[in-house]
Amino acid sequence: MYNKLQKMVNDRIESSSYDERKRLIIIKSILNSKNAFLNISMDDAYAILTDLGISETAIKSVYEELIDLKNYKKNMENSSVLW
Amino acid sequence: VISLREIERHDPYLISKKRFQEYNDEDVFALSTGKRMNKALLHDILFEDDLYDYYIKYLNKSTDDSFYFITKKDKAFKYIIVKRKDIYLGLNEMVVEGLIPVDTVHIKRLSEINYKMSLARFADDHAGEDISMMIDNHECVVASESIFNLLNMDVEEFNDFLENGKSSFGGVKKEEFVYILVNYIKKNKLKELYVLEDLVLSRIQAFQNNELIDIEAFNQLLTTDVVSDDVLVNNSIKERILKNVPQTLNDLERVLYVYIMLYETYSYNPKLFTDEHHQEGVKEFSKTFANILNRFKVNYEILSETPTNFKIKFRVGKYLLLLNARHEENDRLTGIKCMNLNKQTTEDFKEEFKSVSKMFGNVDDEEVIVDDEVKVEPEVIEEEVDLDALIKEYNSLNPPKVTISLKTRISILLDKIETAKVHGADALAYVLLLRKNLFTYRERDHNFDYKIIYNHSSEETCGLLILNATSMKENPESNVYYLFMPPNGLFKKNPESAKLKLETGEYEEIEKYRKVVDGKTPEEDNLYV
Repeated sequence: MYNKLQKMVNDRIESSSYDERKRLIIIKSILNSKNAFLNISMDDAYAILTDLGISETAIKSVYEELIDLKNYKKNMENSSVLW
Repeated sequence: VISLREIERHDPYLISKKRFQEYNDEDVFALSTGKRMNKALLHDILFEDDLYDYYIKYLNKSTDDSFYFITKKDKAFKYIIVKRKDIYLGLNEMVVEGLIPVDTVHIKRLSEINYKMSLARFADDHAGEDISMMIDNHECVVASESIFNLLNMDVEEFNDFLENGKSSFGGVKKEEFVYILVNYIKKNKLKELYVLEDLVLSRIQAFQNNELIDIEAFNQLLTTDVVSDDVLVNNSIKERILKNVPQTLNDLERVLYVYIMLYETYSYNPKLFTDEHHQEGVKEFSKTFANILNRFKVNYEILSETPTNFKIKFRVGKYLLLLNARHEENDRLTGIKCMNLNKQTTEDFKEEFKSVSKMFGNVDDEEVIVDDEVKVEPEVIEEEVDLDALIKEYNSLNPPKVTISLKTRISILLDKIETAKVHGADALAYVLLLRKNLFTYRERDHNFDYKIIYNHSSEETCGLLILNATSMKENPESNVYYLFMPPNGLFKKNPESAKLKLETGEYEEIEKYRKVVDGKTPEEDNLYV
C-alpha cells in the first residue's frame, strides 16, 4: 500500500499547483516512514489521503488497511507510542 | 466473558451447578509444568462413564485445543475451559503418583486417551492420504506416511537424510518435502493438539526455524515490483555490463557479477559519484541494478526509496537478499546482504560473493561489501523522519478539510478490533493506539475510554472499552461496556455488572497504561473543540 501511495504522490506532484505541490512534498517525506499512519491521527491521515486523490468511498478501507494490526506488529519495536 | 453461542460452538459438556462448584474448588493437583488442575475434574473424566464417552468423542472429532464444561440455568451460564494437553498430563501424572486409584477398566480408558492424543493416532487417521501443496507455482504431492516416517526416523537414518547427497525424499526435492512437512504440521495444528515425543518436537522446531534445511525462500517474491523512474537507469553502463556477463555463471553469480561491476563503476568514479552528486549516484546505481534484475527475471520488492537510500529485497533461488544502497564517506556503496536465517545459506552466500569478486572484481576481497555491519531487518522499513514536525508543517499549508463522524470512528475501531485475532498484549496495546489515533481529545474524554485491566475472576488481562454516543460525563447511564479478550474478540457487558466489578476491584485497572490511554492533552491536540 505504501508503494502505491508513493507512486500516487509522484504522479500528482508533476501536475499540481504550487500550494498542492508543497503539501505533496511533505506527504512524500511522511511516507518515507513506513508505518507513518500508525503514528498520526485519523484526521491528518484522511486529509493526506484526500490530498492524494483517494475517493470518499474508498478512503475508509484504504485507511483501515494502513492501520492494520499486521503493520502495528511490525512497527512495535520501533514505536514510541506504547509500553 | 464469552457468549453462550461461542461456548456452544465448542460442544461443551453440560454439568450441574454442584459439579461446577466441585470443579472450581481448591483441591488441585500441580502438573509437572507448574499448572494446577482440579482433581475432581480429572478423576471424573476417567471414572464418569458419560463424561468419559463424551471426552473420547470430542477427541475424535474436535480440532479445539481446549475442552469446555458448562452449567446453565435459564439464561445464566458458567463455564470451565481446560486445555486437552493439561488433561492428558494431569491424568497420567495423577495415576503414576497413585492419586487416582485405577483398575483395568480405567487403565484401558487412560490408554485410549493417550492414543487419541498421540501423533500415531493422527497418522493412522490420515493413512493413505496424499498431501498436495503449491510451491513456487508448481504442485508437489507427497504421501502422508512419508511425513511421519521422517519425523520418527532413528537418529542415524535422520542424519543420513540431512547430510547425504540424496536430493529427493518422498518423491519430491528434499527441501520441498520439508516445506510441505512444516506447513502440514501447522495446518493441522499437530503441535497444539497432540502430544509429541521430545525428539519429534525438536525436529519439527528445527525445520520450522530453517536450522536443518533452508526452506525460507519458498513461495516468497513470486511477483516483482518494477523499477519506476526508468529515466534514471543508466543504459550505457547497463548495456556495457550486460554485454560482458560471462555465459558460464549461474543465477546468483550473474547477479553478484552485476552488483560488483556496478559497485566498482559507481563507488570510485568521481564523475559519477562526487560529494555534490552522491544522491544522484545512489539513485542511478539502484535503478540500474533493479532494472537489470527485471531483465534477469529476478523478482524483487522495493522496501524503501529515499533520496539517499534505496532498499530492495530480492530472491535468487534459495537466497533472500537485501540490497541496501547508501553512500558512504569513503566513496563506496554499501551493501548487499543475505537475509536467510539458515547459517549454512549465509555462509554459502559469502563464499559465492568472494569467489565472484575474486574472479571479476578489482576491489579487495576483504572490503566490507557484504553488509554485515548494518543490521537491517528485512521487514523494518523505518526511515528517520520527524513525523510531528512534518504534520505540523502540512497542517499549516491549508490541507483539505475533512469531517469524520463519531459513527465512522467507532465503526473503524470495532472493525479493527474484531479482526485483531491474535493473542495477548499485542492486541490489547493495539487498541491503545487506535484510541489515540482515531479519536480527538474531546472524543476520548466523552465518547470512548479504554482500560487495560486484570480480571481477577478469570485471572486474565483484558481490555475494557467504554463507549458513549453522547457523553460519558454527562450521560453515564448510556455507557456501553465491552470486554476485549483477544483472540476471541469483543463481549458486551452488562453496564451495572461492569461498573460494580470496577468498583470492587474484580476488574483492576493496570495503572501504568493510563498515561498512554489518556493520550495528548487538549493543548497538544489541536483538534480539541
